[in-house]
Amino acid sequence: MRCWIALHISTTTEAGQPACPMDAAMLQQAAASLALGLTPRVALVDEAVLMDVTGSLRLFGGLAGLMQLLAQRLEAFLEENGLQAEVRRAQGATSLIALGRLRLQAEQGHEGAAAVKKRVAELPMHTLTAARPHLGVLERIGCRTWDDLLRLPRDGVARRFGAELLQALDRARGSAPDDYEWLLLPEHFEEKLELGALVTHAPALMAGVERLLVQLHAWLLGRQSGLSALKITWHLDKRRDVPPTGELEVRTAQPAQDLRHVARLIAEHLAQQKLPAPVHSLTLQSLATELLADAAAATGSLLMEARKQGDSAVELVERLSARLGDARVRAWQPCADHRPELMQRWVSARGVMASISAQLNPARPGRKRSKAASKAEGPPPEARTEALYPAWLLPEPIKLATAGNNPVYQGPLRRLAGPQRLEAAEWLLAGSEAARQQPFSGLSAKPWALRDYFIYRTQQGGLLWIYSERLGATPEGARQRAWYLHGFFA
Amino acid sequence: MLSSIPAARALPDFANAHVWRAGELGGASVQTVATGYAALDGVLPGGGWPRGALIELLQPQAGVHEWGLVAPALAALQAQARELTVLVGAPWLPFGPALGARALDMRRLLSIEGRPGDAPSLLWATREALQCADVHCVLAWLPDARSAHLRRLQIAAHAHHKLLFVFRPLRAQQESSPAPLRLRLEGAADEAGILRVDVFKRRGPPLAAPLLLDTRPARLAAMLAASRERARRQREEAGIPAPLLLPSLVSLPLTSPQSPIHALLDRIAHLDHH
Repeated sequence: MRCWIALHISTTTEAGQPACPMDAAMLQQAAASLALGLTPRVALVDEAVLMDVTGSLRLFGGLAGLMQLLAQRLEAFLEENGLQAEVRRAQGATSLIALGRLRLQAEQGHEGAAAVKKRVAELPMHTLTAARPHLGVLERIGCRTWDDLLRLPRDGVARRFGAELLQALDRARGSAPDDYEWLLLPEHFEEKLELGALVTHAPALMAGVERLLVQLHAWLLGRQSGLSALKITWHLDKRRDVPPTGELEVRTAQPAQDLRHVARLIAEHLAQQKLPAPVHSLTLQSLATELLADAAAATGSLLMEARKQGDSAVELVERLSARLGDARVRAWQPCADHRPELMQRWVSARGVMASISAQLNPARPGRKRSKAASKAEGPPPEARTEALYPAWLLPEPIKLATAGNNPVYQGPLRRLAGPQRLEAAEWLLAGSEAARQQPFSGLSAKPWALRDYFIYRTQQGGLLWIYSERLGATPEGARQRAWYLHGFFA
Repeated sequence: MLSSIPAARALPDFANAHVWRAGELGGASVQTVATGYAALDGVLPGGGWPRGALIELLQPQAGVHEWGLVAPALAALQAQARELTVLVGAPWLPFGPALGARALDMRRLLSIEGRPGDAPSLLWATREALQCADVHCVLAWLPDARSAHLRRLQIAAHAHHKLLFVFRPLRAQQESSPAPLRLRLEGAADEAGILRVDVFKRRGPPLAAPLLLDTRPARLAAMLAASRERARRQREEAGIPAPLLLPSLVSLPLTSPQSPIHALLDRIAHLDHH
């Protein structure tokens, strides 16, 4: 015996709430996409979504389990997108029975719960779509339920009402194949939205983007994928002498199904955009998606919801980088070099997101791509530790004023320790490829790093790390020493 | 008559645990992280840095005393859970090898740089970091923050139960602040590198005298002590205290009005060696 579920979703607006931004067709499409996460046989029929779940009953633990999962997913979807909608479900052995029950339930309102259990034969005539053109006649000849019509002679019915009604009845009874044009989700998401009014201010595009994101979210759920890149294109008013479109690409490090983070990223990027002309429509395209193998398990799991309180580190870095720029959000990387300024690099955190998340979740098996990347790089250089170095390092050493032959920084200084000699000769530079790529070009361009490091104390009690450049080996140079402040002990 | 009954008796036991008397050190219910300094733990409510509260550290100059005070607690936190530490608006770049020696894992450090005149975005970044589930501690240098800003940070730290240190200049001491714990840090002017820590606001009675903490790494302290000793010997051997190599040592140790005792003790210690 087959098992069908009919689903209807309609928006509800409460007093004082803003009107739902989605129209009925969009919601129906979204519900159908969600249903595709549970069974491949989903069809849009009239106002309802019909899904044949016969094949997936066992996978989801029977009809009760599947219904619960469907309700959970719909609820989560509506909640995540801030929508208010009423969902009705009905179940039947054929698609038309499920649909009939759904319609009966709808018109009986809240008391309609009993209708789900109603016998098929007692379903009223108007719940059958094919009977709708003939309702007046059927009513007059006393056919009120499906059963009444089935008792009439077939050839007479066919002559009077046409073959369609009989075919529909056969389908409802299960004696004719119950087949539809099954809904297929496109390989790539692309949706265009005409804005209600011309938008001149980029952040105001967000309202339109949010509507598109709801559809994208449903599409992702249906395809059981996560989004890793998308493109937003806005179409500008053609009357101005400007390029016809503008676009924005947003990428995330982890494929996301919950698009709230993506929406915040888009909002950050849009806040920095300037529109040269008013915008009349928007297009949202998915550029890259990744299949989430455990999406079905993850969505149903209660543990996933409970674990996360707040965003993940990846989301934090992406959001910070989106507003402040990549260069201002930095992570640390050790380098193999003897010169202090080249022992470490502060690189853009977005670029090394994989290694940061690997640091945070070492147990989680990395995705194939990141594993391959780390293999190519080889093991990262071992981080050196040295207690005699200062805790703060100046990115560029500061040349200090001198009094006599001594450096001065915020008043006279006292030498506490030193010298500690550092020599990075030419053979060191030639060997290290990394040295050439350093931003400290002024330093690495010098063939020699010959320095004597001292620890000085300021009058306020702070310790400074100061070096004097040994300019060549001439005694004259030794007398005229240049002093540089390179770090602070803290 | 009621006043003759001891306060502890007057209340049922279950309520007793939640009552803090202003004369005592509060915060028995506060979850804390040990600071790594027993003397400091002793004067902080709950015996450590409180989680979920703004800790305000005032110092004369940004970047002078932070790591020594904060690093032991951070290292302990990092050892517990694999989470990020976020620096917001740090005055300079932290130097990995030195902090590594303080047992910090630099790979789990994120630094958000400030720009002059961009205080709002630093506040925003601090709040965002506090909201992140993978962050356990935020260190923020916010010289321009006002009381209203700090209140928002305090609320965020409380809501997300994060350790939050905010470093501000000394002038902020006169302003009102929502932070439940405020400390003033000053470097002592002697060579031993003792840090004077004054807890001037806490849940409890005012601190009688500032604490003195030795926050330098052991190796650095030993090296400095050895250099001092060597300089002293050289001076002795020369007879006249005028070595050419280290002219700055000729002058007497700098005395500051804040810690004349320590400077004095140092000199006495030198005399004893004679």
